[in-house]
Amino acid sequence: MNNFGTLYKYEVKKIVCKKLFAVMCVLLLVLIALTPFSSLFGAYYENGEPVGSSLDIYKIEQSRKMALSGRTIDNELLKETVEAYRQVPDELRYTSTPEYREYAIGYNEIFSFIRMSTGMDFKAIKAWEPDEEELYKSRKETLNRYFEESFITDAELKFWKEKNDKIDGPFTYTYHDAYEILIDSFQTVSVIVMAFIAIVLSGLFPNEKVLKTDQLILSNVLGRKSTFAAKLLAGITVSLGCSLILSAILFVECLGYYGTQGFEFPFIMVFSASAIDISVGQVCVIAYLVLQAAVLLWAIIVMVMSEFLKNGIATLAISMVFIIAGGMISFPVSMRVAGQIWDWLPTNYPAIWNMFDERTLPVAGKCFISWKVVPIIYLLIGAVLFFIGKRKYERVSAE
Amino acid sequence: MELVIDRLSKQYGAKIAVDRISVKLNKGVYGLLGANGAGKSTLMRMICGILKPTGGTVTFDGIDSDKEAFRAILGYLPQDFGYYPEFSAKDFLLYIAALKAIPKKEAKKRVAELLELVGLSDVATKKIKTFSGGMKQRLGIAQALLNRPKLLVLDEPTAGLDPKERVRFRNLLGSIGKDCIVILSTHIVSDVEHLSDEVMIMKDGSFIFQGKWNDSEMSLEDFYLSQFEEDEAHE
Amino acid sequence: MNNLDHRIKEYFKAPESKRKEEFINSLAPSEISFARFVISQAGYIRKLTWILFSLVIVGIAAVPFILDSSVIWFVSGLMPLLALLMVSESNRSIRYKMAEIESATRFSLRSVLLARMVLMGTVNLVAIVIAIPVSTHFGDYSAVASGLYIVTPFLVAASAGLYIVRVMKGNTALYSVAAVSLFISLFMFLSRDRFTSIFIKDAVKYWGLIALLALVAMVKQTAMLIKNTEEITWNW
Repeated sequence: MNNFGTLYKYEVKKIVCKKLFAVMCVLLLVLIALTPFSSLFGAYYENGEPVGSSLDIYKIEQSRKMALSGRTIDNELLKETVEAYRQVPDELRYTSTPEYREYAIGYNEIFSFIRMSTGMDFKAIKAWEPDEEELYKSRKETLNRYFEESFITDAELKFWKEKNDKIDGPFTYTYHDAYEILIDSFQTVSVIVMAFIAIVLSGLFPNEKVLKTDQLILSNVLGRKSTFAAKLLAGITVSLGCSLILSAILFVECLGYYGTQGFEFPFIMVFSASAIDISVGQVCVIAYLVLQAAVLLWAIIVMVMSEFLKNGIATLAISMVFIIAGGMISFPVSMRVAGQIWDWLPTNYPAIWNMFDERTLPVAGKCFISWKVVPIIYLLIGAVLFFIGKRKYERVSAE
Repeated sequence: MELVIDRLSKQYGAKIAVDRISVKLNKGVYGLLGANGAGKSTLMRMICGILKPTGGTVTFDGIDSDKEAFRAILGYLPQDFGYYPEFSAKDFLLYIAALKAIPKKEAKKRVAELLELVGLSDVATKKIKTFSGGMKQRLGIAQALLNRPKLLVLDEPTAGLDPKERVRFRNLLGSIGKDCIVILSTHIVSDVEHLSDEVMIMKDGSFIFQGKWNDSEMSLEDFYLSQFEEDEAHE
Repeated sequence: MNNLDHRIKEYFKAPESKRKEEFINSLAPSEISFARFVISQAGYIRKLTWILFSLVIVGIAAVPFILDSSVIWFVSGLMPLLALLMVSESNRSIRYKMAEIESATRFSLRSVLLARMVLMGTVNLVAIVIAIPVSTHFGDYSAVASGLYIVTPFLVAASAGLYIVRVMKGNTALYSVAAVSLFISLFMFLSRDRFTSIFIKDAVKYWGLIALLALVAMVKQTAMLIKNTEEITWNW
């Protein structure tokens, strides 16, 4: 045990005491630091002309949203919203008009909710006579229609319709920018962390051959079984450690700057394609925890792949191709199984639209919501890969 | 204490690198001589259990070379080994000690002892990347001795050592060789003459000579060189 | 006539040459110009490099027909890969421990390195010249902005890569270069949806500044790398 601790310590040292690791950490910190504030930089344009800084305009928007915070989304608030938008001219880029900034900017989330629930466009909403009952009924119907067109199984359809039916209005509007930014930044953070893991761990096993230390290691008592476990544990520790620290920094930044209000704001007002009755705060906690499970599996995949390929650069290239392809390729909805497998890969799954969508894991007639089962699947796959990699490593020969 | 190599072979495609070598070794120092490409390093790696043989077995007191118990009594210095640039000499030896399952407390004492023995105490905390070739080789010898091995396999151990260091190494090996089996491969005939109790000469994967060399008829060096002349004559 | 020549050769053997070596040594050694040397080096650039380069060019040309948007991000994301190929070729002599031998030849290591940089620089320029009009035509940005979005990732990756191979030794240097290049590629792919504020009109001048600094850095690193070839043998 004592020796395993020493081996583990030196394996961690091999990973972190490298210039590349330090450089990557600095780059990641800079990116994470900038991510929540990326929309606040630069000038704000109206009709193609700069009228102020994005930060100033955001402050106006923030204050107006805070003024609305705590109000029920009822006929009164709906009427105010529609009236505000009636002042905005009928233009393609109506959000870049002075009237939008003057009248409508604080009501934009309520406007989005009306649009998502009813399917009406900008002009149609301006002409609409607000009716909260109609709105909440329309929300349910729109979502049910969406489920019907989603190529899900009958069991899933029944499951989601039942959940949808239980969600009744009226909702209460709360200022919740911190959580919105956390949700918005989630996929970016995930991709950056996955790339970091690929860069830092792809050479872990091949480097022993490159540095010509493999013979020394393999000729020793603990050079096979314990070394493999120590390496994997070191890789997982570094990956999870960095991911947790970066997630924590992001939470502190967002909650510190944008405020902690709005934890209980309904998630379905942010993501209309969901019938899960949870709040944006809960979504943030779940998402960033599930990210850690994805990080764990991805770290194991990268390390085991590097042991099989015996080439750090090839492992890095394949890993990065997966990460980049995940952001660019998506399967059509009709290809349910292939699409679900692709979207549930650890490099693709940490995205709000994959974690909280309508696809479940149907087992024996029961539907399991994805974010509840995927971490367990990841742990199981991780364990299997561990044993496959261990077997391979124990049989390695210094050819 | 007996190392038994029984019909050990290694084949790469059509090329036979080691051809059914059988030998029994007891306590003492055994010099393994041979030209480049004779199969010495391949044989050494199979003895250490880090290269799978195509055929045959290697056992030490009945323990197979692929078992952990075998590696527990083994000390190996490869011909061409590397290091971790960010490690110091002390870090490196402590790391290898951990791989050898030596308890931490004991490892610290042993590391200090060996650094003193190989003359690297003064640079124990310096990074290996700052070491000269000779210093790295001494560090390599130190790591092979960490677990007080019963079987010590040294592949070209005096490469990179200056004459003074070579003499020091010979004295060190002389004292170790009394209590364990040492197999030492080299090109330097004088090292074998000074150190070994027995000589094994390898050519094209087989032993052409094995035993105590009798200088009365011909010097070892002359015999060794005569093998090259025979090759040239055949060509 | 050929038959007669053949018969004459058969019956009349030419005498053995005398002082052949002396005569050959008296001839001036044949020389090739530096330009011919540079061209001859093209044959020693690895086939894999040419294949990967071709794939990048095909990718640039094909992407407007595959993606309906995000052409510029995809193309600019490919640029650091070209930089990686260039840096990888420049580092080959050191990586495969040929530097000492090449240093002792007539066209020494310095010339070899310069030749490779010239060749790879030229082919990369071809790629950039293709990429800019493709991205401008199929994108929402001006030619200047598109050009900067394409050239800047290449220059940043190239200057960083050349610095890394100059200060780091061994195969780990190439791994670090690959990591940095791929990270820059990923950043460009990501910036399609994220970090969109760096692509506003006002930011173009900052892109120009970064491109200029990176170009100066790349030229400086190249010069230092070539100058370093003298120190390589000394350090051995």
